[in-house]
Amino acid sequence: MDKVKEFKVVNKSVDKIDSMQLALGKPSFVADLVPEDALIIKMLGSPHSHARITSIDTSAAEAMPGVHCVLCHENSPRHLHLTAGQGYPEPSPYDTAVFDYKVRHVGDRVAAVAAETAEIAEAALEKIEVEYEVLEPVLSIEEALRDGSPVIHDEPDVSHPLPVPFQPEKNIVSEVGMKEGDLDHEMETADYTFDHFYETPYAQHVPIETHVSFAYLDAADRVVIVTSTQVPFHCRRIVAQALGMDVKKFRVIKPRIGGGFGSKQEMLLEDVCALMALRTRRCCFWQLTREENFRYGRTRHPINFRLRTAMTAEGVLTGIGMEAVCNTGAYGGHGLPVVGCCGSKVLPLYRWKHIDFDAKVVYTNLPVGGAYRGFGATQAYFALESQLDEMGHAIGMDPVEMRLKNHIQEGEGSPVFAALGEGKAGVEMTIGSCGLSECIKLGAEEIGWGRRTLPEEKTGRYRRGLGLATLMQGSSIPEIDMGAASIKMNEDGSFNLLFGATDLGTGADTVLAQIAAEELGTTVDMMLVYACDTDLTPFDVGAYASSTTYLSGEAVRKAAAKVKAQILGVAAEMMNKPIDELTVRDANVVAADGSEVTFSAVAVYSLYERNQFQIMDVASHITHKSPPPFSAHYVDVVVDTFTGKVKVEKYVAAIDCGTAINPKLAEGQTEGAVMNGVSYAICEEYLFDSKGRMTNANMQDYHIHSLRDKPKIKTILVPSYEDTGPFGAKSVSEISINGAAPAIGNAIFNATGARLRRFPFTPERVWRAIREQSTVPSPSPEAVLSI
Amino acid sequence: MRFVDFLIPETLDEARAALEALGDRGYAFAGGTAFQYVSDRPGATAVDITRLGLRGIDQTDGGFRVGATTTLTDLVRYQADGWVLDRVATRIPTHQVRNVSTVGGNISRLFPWSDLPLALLVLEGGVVISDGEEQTHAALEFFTAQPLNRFGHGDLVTAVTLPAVSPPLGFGFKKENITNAAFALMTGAAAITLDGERLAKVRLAANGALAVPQRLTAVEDALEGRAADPSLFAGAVEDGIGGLDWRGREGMSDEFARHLGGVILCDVLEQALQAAKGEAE
Ligand SMILES: Cc1cc2nc3c(=O)[nH]c(=O)nc-3n(C[C@H](O)[C@H](O)[C@H](O)COP(=O)(O)OP(=O)(O)OC[C@H]3O[C@@H](n4cnc5c(N)ncnc54)[C@H](O)[C@@H]3O)c2cc1C
Repeated sequence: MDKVKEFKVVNKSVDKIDSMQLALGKPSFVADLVPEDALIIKMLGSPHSHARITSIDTSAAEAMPGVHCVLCHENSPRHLHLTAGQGYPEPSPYDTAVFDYKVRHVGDRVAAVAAETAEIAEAALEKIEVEYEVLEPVLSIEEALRDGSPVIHDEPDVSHPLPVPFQPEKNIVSEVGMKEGDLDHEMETADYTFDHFYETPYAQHVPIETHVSFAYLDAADRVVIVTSTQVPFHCRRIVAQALGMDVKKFRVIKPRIGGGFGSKQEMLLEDVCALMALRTRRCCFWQLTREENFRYGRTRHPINFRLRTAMTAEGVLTGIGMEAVCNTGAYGGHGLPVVGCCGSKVLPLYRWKHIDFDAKVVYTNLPVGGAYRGFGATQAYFALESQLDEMGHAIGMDPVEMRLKNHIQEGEGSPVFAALGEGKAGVEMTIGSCGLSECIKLGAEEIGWGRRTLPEEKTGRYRRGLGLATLMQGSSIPEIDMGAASIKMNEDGSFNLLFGATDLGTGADTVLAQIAAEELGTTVDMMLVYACDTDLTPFDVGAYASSTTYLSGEAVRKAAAKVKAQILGVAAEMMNKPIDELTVRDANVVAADGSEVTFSAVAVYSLYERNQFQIMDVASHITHKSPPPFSAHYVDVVVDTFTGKVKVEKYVAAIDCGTAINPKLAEGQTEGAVMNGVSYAICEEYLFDSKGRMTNANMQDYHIHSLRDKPKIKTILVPSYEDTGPFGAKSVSEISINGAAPAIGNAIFNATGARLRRFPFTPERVWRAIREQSTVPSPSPEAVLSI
Repeated sequence: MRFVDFLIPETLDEARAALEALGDRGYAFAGGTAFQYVSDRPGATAVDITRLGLRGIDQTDGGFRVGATTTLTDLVRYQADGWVLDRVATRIPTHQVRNVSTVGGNISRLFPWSDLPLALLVLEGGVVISDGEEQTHAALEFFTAQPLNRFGHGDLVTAVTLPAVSPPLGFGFKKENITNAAFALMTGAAAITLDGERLAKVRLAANGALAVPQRLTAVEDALEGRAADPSLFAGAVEDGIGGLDWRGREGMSDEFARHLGGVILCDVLEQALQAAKGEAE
């Protein structure tokens, strides 16, 4: 593809194509579309973290008027599967049954009722009698790894689809690692070495729309599942597997999604909806309450790190050792890919010669980890960027200079790319585009880095601090992810654009329409977008791994290029001109001599007049690279040293996402991710009682930032051009959640001299760190890791 | 709370009569925002009290009379010399709650996060109750226990009264919460009356980390009559709050709750002193 830099449609802030529909409240979301006579599903969740169901009696519930079906492990199929939507075969264990005879976390599925009304369903749940043999729960990483610890997955049929180290008898889901050079020697001989422990907490995605699905049988007795999912095709495959049926039995439709952030990369309701629909022959609807969403939905994986680094006296980074232990909770979910990304999306940012990466994923009886924007990189950047700050401070080097000196550049590679993939080796890669230096410089200017003083120079109760973190992510999973699109031309010159990619509110449909319109030489309003319906739209792995613009976008561009070729062919015949003299412009085919025919005329000709055929094509795309977007995040905070309260006053995110296909949406993604990250850093945490029960499973006690808490955010889009992406694009969606925790932690240090190695930075935690004079003890090795 | 019926009386007498007849099953329903925290009672009936002419703020001799169904948004919008409840109401989240939530509702059922009671306690306001006839009760007396438990069937708060605040009387109010929409971890309010360079009268109250709004009389006693010197506040607060039952919420330890309480109380005393001196904040 030519490096087109003057675009007509791309790189323009066109309005989201669904904005009016949503602003006017038109029925768009799953819950808007449920038939009025649908049965309502309610679930009985486990009150225990770890227990065996010794008996379950559903007869009284079943006998209630208005109750149509009660499901539990005794009357549901048992085909262990994975609820996480990932490439297939998945890099995660088959450890979940539709309903099981064992419960492994508070809120785990015990039984479900489908009834005429929610009230009847709830009353029926109360009539289900369950006897549990309560087992000792495993409530921390250390307990999970202790010899003789209770085994969470002791079921004989648990298995792993890939040959990876899976040791359920030791509560170990997986291990992954790599080595380059000789880190141990480097740690002995380097001018400066550092060795600290870091902890990152549980957090919830808290989409406005909780998990929601309904299912019904169509006239041909196929099961139609309408669901809020990021992964319709994976969902179809997993439901079929979980119920032991053929994929062809199911059709999955995704309408608009009310936010996902990774949480809906998971099949959580659809199997039960489908089974209920099959059993009752009625439409069955299930939406989680907010409390259920906290207890039974997915979370960010808490990860504990030991990070060792080495550098020269001049501030050249030489060695890194990252040991990570990831708590995946009761089911294996995304554990291995998440912890893999702690390495693959983080370590290559700097030019280390010596690298040790060693990670493991463990089961506990706590809520289940899942995909969450940032996907492991968020956690690992907290450790890395915090430690980098300490390194710079130790030799009196400015953090900006430190990063400019050491970050990866265009044309460079990293052994990490080839070593770490998803459940297999990765793919070798050199960086094709990198605007990080520019990001660092522009961000520094915007935040006013020049006024930064050292912590020792600050006095008074309220102290201002500046902090920095630099970041990279990826754009899709190379040689695993696949996206496809089809385009069909209509007689008015409009096009039906169909793809399997899923817009979860991000504006992806708009971005993909812009890509198609640019390639076709038309406008966005002529693109009729439809996504996603597994019966109608081409396959796509779904919305995750920052893949939609880069991967699905290139599939769309390719399909558009093929359709354009057909248009030119028809126009050549109509105009009696050689095809290579023709181009497309403003929905016309234009000849070198200035003569032109409209797209509409071309379509009418091909549909009705001569040599009739449907102008239409389909294209697929896989990638051999995962080109990283890069970003520099700066934050300006004021710390009340008396109360420990941290106020983020200004946040600057300078980002190189390649060509921003829609700058306004790219800014929106960045601002949203920044707010999400600031909230995670400052106040989000799961609180548990001694039995592993979350005590703040509601929006009153689980705090997230809202617009009322929003700091001043400045997004700077730093252009670069990625040759392998559609019109030079990379990705923008995930990276910006990664910066807040380390940048704010570094700013707190800059303000107060107190270094926090765990967050959220709640007032009490910050107050204690300040009180303990300049450093909080890092979580002790024994308490954190048993590597 | 789930209601089975909703009555819409048009006069105070009608409302009182309905509530009296309903007995334990009847609930005055103002903004309705607190009922999510009230457990179900069979046959519960809501009696709407928002159309009884109890909404509005009047200036009285030296102060204000605020009708019971005046909304928190009304408090924020009202402007007059010596008016301070805007500063309190604006910190009650959120817009949606403030638009419907009323003064009477905010003070009749106390929560650890109830803010208006603190202001009324330190400003020595009054609560007007109608049991057929209006009687004004001192805030200190009204807030000694959960007010609702003391109402007879049909009793309604019809208004609150409070003084206009201007030097030598100063008012301070501060609230610490995790997000701007969260309930307070700690709220403090103070009122100081100066007599020249002396603290003639000190009123201090806290809520949030204490189970109910409380006047902190030990601190008040320690400061009254002493020099108007903010450096005395920390010691008096430290000595005066130790015996209270500080409860950490939302992952916060009791120790931190007490510490935070001390900091916020010193802050509000300083604010009040500054205001009493007529210094801009
Ligand atoms: C999410 C949320 C956050 C909040 N945060 C805060 C906060 O930080 N600080 C704060 O101060 N408040 C806060 N509030 C408001 C507070 O908790 C109460 O909900 C509110 O003040 C009640 O006012 P209302 O008019 O809605 O009363 P209602 O809910 O209608 O009534 C409350 C109670 O008082 C009784 N009642 C009402 N009016 C009268 C009357 N005139 N006479 C006798 N009895 C009466 C009712 O029968 C009921 O028992 C918050 C509310 C919500 C929902």
